[in-house]
Amino acid sequence: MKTQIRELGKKGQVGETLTWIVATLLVIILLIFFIFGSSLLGKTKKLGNTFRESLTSSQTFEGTDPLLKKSLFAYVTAGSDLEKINLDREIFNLANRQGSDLDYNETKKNMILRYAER
Amino acid sequence: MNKKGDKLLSVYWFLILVIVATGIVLMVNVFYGNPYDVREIESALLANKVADCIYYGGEVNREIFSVQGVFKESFRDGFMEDCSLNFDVQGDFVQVPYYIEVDFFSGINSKKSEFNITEGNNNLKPDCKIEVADSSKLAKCTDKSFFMRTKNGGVYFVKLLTIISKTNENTN
Repeated sequence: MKTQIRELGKKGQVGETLTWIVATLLVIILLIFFIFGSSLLGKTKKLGNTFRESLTSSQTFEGTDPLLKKSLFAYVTAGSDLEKINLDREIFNLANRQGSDLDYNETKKNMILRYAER
Repeated sequence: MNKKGDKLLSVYWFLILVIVATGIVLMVNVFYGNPYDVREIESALLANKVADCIYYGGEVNREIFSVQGVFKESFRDGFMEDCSLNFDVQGDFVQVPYYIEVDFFSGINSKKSEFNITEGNNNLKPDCKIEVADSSKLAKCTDKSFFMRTKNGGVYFVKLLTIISKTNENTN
């Protein structure tokens, strides 16, 4: 009877040890996985040219692409209609080429509203 | 026997604690240890600064044109001071990590530059034309242009090229 109990105890000990070993291995595997993940995510981060007020906000008229606004100011203050048409076409092409963050027509409208009467 | 097992278990717990803590330290170090590459934004900001120096609030910088409407050579000579720029670097034999090029074209469709300003390290310019998969070790270039109107009603197309190298500060 006593030997039977001792045998059972030994088996229990072996089972418990195995559980701990498996748990340790799991912890180490998980850690390696997360370290690998963070090394993938943590590469050199590039900061782009898009300025936004916050991560969730859409791009705004204020503060973005000052060069497009400079060009549009030249457009707004153009003397003749012909010059306006030419400038409009050139600035539109320029904005497309440079990949402006702003919507061209919307910005132009805003500029006209703001400066045309001056 | 039980006491021995308890001791062994507490040693094991400490071992696990050390492993987890080391893992967390490693993760944080790997994630935050890499630098931020701000050269693209830096060159764009430099281009904006130069553009503001030339044409701001619908007015052309008074130092650019003479009364007769001709480009002033003194603006080219004093460009850095007029635009509050400083490319000085510390240390001997250190290359200037900046380059600026400004071209003025008269009219809307003109192809010939009427006036040209260059400042900084000219050797960085070829980097803009190299096309490779990993361009992190090359200088970052920003090519921007805009139209400006002078007081006389003349329209100029201004082309800006700004380059920042600073590779060591921004990459591994």
